[in-house]
Amino acid sequence: MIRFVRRPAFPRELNHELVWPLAFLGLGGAGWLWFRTGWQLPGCVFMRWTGWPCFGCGGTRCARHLAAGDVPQAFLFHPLFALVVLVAALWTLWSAVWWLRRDPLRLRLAADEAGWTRLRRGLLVALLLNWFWQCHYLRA
Amino acid sequence: MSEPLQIHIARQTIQLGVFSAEEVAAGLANGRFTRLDLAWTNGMAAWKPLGEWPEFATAVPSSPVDAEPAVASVIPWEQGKSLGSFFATVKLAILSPRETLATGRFAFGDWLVFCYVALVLSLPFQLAALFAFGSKNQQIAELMTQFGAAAAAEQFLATSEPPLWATALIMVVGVGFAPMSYALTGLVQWLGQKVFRLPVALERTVAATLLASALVLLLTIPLQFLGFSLLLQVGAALLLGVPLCIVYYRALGAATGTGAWVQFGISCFVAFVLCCCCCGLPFVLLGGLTAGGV
Repeated sequence: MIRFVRRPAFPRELNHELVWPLAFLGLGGAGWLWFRTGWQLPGCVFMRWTGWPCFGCGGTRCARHLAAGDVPQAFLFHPLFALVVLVAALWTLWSAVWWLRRDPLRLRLAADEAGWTRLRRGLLVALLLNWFWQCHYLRA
Repeated sequence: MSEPLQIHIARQTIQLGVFSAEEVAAGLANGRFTRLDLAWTNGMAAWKPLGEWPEFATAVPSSPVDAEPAVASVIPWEQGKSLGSFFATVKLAILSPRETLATGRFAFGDWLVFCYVALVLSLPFQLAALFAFGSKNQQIAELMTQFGAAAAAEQFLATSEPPLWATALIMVVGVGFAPMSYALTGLVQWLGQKVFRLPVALERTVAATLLASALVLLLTIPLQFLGFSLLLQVGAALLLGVPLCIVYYRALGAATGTGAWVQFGISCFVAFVLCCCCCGLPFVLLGGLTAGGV
């Protein structure tokens, strides 16, 4: 069982509506500034030595295209990274609404043990699929 | 047909998951859950300890562990936020980490703020060093030349260097997300702990990493005064390397309740695995050996 629930926060629970939007906006702003400078990051050592992409290969190019507003091209370079950014943006938007509404209930993903196992396996499959795509697209 | 009762359980700062009433009753009986664990189900306005749920009154054993009051934190920063408590915490974390840090709650938010305070305190020194001593590229190139890499030094100097104001801006913006990178280190450290089956909570590990990083940050502030000579700065950093490692791992070990050597070992393991996976260390080593004619 995996589903979204709206529930109150328990004492000392991490404020996910504050921490992740701040991290997203901070990193997004820093990334945008970095791309504005035109400076380059060094290439991937793993790719250079093996000829195969690592899990992160294409991530910077994806971010660069996202910063330029070219979402389809960003998605081609690193689908998983683009998806994570999309989810982070949606969460930031949701958090803003939550703060404005002063809602006492928080949106949380709830799962039983079987659900968490399914989620972990899903993440692993997503990583592998993404890597197969990286191998196909980045080595072409 | 009505939906079976789904109970959300949380302990300290972690959500343990969603369980049926039968699973909770069994968990209470076999010690998986305690009466202090917080629980919530649909329709409740707030979380309530399992010990206060009438449904589980018979299933809750009154164990002596539950009866004992939790040890209160003696860390000044967790008792109140002020510059005084900040420096008192720094002093205690360096001088007597085992006696103080082991009692800490280590909530992420508390230590995120602590880390930001350390960064803000360190920033003026870094900016002053930048504007007083300027870019170190020329000194780096001279060093490279001394080590026989004249061509690389020339190439290094030829690459476009960001203006001073841009570097300063990056430093200032960097303060905003630097704790996130420390937290990421903590996350990796936690993964290492998981590999070695150490039952330390993620939040505690991350918060402890934030504290230890802040300590190192503060202790390296005086190095900014040596900015006029890169060689001196690197030499001092190398001399300080071992003491800094001791401070860092003593704090991390005490805060996670594991031990300095355990955390140092995990860091070495994590760094090695990361290097193997991401940085192609074996290939670099192989390349070095081949080039060296071994």
